[in-house]
Amino acid sequence: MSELLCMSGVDKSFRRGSQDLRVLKDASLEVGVGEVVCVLGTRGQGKTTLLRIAAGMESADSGEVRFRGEDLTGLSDRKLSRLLGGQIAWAGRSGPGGMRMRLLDYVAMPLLAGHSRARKRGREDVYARARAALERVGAQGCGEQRWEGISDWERALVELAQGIVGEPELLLVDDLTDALGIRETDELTALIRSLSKELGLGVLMSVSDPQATLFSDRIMTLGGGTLTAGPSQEPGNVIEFPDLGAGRREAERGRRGS
Amino acid sequence: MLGLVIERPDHGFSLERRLEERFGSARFAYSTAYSALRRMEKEGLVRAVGGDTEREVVYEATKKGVDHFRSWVRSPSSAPVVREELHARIALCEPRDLPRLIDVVHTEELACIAELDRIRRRTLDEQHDATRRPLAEEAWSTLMDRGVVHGEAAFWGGRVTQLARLRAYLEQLREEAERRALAEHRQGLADGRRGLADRRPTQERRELAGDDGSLAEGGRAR
Repeated sequence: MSELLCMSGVDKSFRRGSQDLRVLKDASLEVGVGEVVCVLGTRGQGKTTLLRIAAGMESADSGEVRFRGEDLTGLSDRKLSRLLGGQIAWAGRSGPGGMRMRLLDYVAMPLLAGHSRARKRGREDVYARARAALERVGAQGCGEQRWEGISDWERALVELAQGIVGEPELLLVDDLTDALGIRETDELTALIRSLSKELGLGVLMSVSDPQATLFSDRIMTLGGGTLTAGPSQEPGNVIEFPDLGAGRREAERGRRGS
Repeated sequence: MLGLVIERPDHGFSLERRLEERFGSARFAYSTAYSALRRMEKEGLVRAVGGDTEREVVYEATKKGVDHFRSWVRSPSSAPVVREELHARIALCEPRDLPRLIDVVHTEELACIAELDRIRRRTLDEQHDATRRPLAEEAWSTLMDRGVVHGEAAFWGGRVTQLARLRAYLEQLREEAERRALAEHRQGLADGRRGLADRRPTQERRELAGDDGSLAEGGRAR
């Protein structure tokens, strides 16, 4: 089975004043191995909440969240935190917060945090992996720098490096393209795509910018509490679109010729 | 069309296909390409060379055609005219139309996602390798085309997110309409006046926006 993450019938509400704000109504999605799924929506539509639920960081009011067939709602906190930082990783735009640290240390954090498979590894090995992750995304020059000293583009790369350093199976990418221009958005999303194909990594990516969906395998939208799937999709399957596109054009040509 | 001919002289049917590939979302009518070619030929902007039948000839641009195109590229752009049928329908709808209108908005959302998806597939078609090449090594046409692709993606994607918010708002209104209908029903039972709101939809809406600030304003503020 190539299915990695499977959410079905997920509801989530927040209490805002006297009203219940329904952020997710009956939301369902799947992410397969080596598949990039984009969730498009404006700010405040619940994208981050959706990702947090997928990561097991937050629980759904009802519905199922399964990672590799295992229901996250039934797991203990200990198991959940081992999952996050191990098989599931997060790449957001937060940076190291107020902590002043070398970015090499920042990238290595998931390995040092203790819930990773790499816990038993030595210090040298940890840094070698962090360096390799930075190099893979093309940000090898950032290791010795600090967060304040690098550009938005480099920050996105550093976050991505931290996301893949623990060799996860599922990567949750939260609005990483938000501060980028057209060319950088193309580059970053194409990079995420090639990482996904190369490492067999499932990626669930939230974007507020429609232009960041172009290198994904599937587009979904989130707004008004409804998670809507795009056309032409079979859950859990990675579809080779170049062939489909050629077939469609061929069909159209045939229709026109007759 | 003229721009495509200048980019590369071609047969009529190939030009038609290229028009569809590059500007598919403009939804040109079936014969647009050919009628444009004939008109441009009459105006001396393009000429047909080589071959006797329509299938054999290749269209190429004349000097006049190239000059005409360059001046068009550089001419100022005006703001597009927006004729939004959906907005007119919402402005004039009654509470009982809301469930249907919510469906209409959602259907349009799906159509926009399909357009965005078409652009996404085209992107993957053209850049399978997805390698990052430096600016200097990229073909000029590719660089320019990415700008158009992003413009189209922003248009359809932006429309999806706007429609989703509009639908969320209409759903709030539907709940509010139900509350009001219930309240009026009770009131009607109490003093014998019933169904007043249904006959005065305009005033009903004014009340929605005006009196109940918590709904209209609160919804937007979030």
